[in-house]
Amino acid sequence: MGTMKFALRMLKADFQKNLFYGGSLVFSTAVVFVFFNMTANPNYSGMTDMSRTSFSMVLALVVVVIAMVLAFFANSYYLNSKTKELAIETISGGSVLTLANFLLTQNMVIMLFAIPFGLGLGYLVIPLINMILYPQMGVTAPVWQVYGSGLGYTIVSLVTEMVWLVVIDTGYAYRTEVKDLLEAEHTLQNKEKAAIRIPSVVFLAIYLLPVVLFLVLEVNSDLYLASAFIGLFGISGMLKKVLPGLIMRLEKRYLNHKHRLPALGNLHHLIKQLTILMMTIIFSVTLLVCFMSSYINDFRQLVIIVMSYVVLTILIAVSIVYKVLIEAAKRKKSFLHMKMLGYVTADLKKIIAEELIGLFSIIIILPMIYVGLIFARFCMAGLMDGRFAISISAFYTGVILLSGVLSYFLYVHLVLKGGSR
Amino acid sequence: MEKKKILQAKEVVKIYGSDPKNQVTALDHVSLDVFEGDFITIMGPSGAGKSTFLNNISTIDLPTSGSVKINGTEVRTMGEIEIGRFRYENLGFIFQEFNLLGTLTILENIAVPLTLKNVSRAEIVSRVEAIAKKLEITALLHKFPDECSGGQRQRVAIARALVTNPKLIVADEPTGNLDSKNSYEILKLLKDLNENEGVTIIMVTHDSMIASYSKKLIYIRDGKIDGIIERGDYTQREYFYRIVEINSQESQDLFYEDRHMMEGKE
Repeated sequence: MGTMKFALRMLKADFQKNLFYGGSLVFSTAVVFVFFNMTANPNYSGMTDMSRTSFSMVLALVVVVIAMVLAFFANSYYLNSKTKELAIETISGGSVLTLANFLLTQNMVIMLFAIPFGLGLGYLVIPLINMILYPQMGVTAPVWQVYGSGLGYTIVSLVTEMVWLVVIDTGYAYRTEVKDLLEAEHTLQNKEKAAIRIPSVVFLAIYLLPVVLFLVLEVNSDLYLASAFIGLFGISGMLKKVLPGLIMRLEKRYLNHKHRLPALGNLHHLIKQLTILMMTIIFSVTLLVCFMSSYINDFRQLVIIVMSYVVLTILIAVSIVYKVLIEAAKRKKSFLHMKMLGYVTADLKKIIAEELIGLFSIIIILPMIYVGLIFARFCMAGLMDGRFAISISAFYTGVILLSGVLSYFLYVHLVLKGGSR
Repeated sequence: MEKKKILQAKEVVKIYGSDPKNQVTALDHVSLDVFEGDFITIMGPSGAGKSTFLNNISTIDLPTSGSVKINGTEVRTMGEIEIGRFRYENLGFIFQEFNLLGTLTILENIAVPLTLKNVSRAEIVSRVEAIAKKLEITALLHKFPDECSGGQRQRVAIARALVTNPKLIVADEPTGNLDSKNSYEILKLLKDLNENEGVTIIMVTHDSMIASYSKKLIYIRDGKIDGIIERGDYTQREYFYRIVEINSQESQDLFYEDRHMMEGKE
């Protein structure tokens, strides 16, 4: 059987997995299309000339980049699930080109379905957004308008994305050893990277400094933005040093707790693996809230910022779920071994729940301390509607909670189905 | 002094496959009694049913029929919660792949069975440090498994298996992923634990030299017990040669048949 035939046959056999990956590509494509169309729409950008940029347009481009990052995360999860098939190809005599051909065939087929669906979905969403926002902005224009330049930029982005996915997949086929493909499970890396040793208390102080500044400074979005930037350095330290240190101390305290000990160990490891994603979402949310405060009276810009906030939150939350599942897949054997030691299914579910509650609590609390204070000061000064502030905060919290719940069910399904008694 | 029976497996049958036309009988009415202080090795050709037998007598798998009693308790009738408690109270497992939890430190890994038993924190630390000292892994307690060598990890796995003072240690190819030097050190350790502390051990191995550290060999072929060798008064060397002989019996029979055929032609 040729490689392409084998690839297509395996595509049919793993329909559910491929559907999940395809769904992510559809969503990513739709986001890219919608946002590029918005940047080309003069009713939002306030310009007819795409060569001039406004702040919100830059923001829209950031959203596009994040959408493509989601596609890469989905591809990474997808590649992880292909190791056995790639191993069989390799030990059957397949070369790097054979493996690359195998991955590209599957990826191309999925993209050939996903991209048109994504564009179609985007085409349906564009008028919905326009129908909601045009009346608010006092604009009377056709809601079904698709701008050529927006579509053009979308296609260029998608082609770039496809090329990068080809490069990544070929690289994976080239550098991964047969042994690793066969074993599939990778060693959990625990080693700390060498770094300049800054005490944890310094990072905590830097994180808390903006809290003080938000309370003592006059209500000024530029000052708050500058304070938030300082705080971002503290957030980085919180995730890399303070929280891991706290978790290790808690592990010692809960040494005799059958659920909390393994849950904390898993959480410690998960934070290390998700640091970049967690920093991205916390940074994004905090900065976007500052921008909302800055442009609270400029409706056009505010619309783009809020939309960016909504889409970025969803995109990064989905990426976090993917990453959690990638890590969960590596732990399937560990959970099986825990069963052999005497843990029962209910214990393991509790361990997973405690781990994820810890993770998603951090993702909610770290930015919401800043966001809550910024919104509170603006509302108390009469510069912002309280309902707006509550909606923005509730949206983020709701999406993260939903991601946590979804992660729990998928994690449990992934690690606890099958196995020994 | 009469020894206490730790495990009794009676007429154990294990059949895989629900379709009667496609069923595989992995174990065919196998019986075994294990007494306190025994050190038993199970050997056999690939696919003979060694690991299947070990899994079925150690609660990891459920026999299709037959009886398995550990310390007088029938394991087939236990529910999930009972089995879990039974494992951490009575059994210690050592595997070829060590099976340590990568997200916990060595100290925490060894402590896991004690956390299941609701032992206090102070006692956990004390017992873990004691077992670590015995197995010469005290320096590793604050490291993670991937920071340790294969031999060190297997010592940690043994420490975890022993920390609850189990009635029975179950070891499935415990030296399978180790080099010769580490393999013999591990076996010497298990032998010392058996002889000096009366720890009961059932071990699966394919290595005759490793098997010669035990006191009794069960040879399984095609899901049945095909031979039993007791070390008794044999030296380790003599016992080893008897193990080699039983292991190579099938091959020797082939040579005998070849010879017979040639004689017939002549």
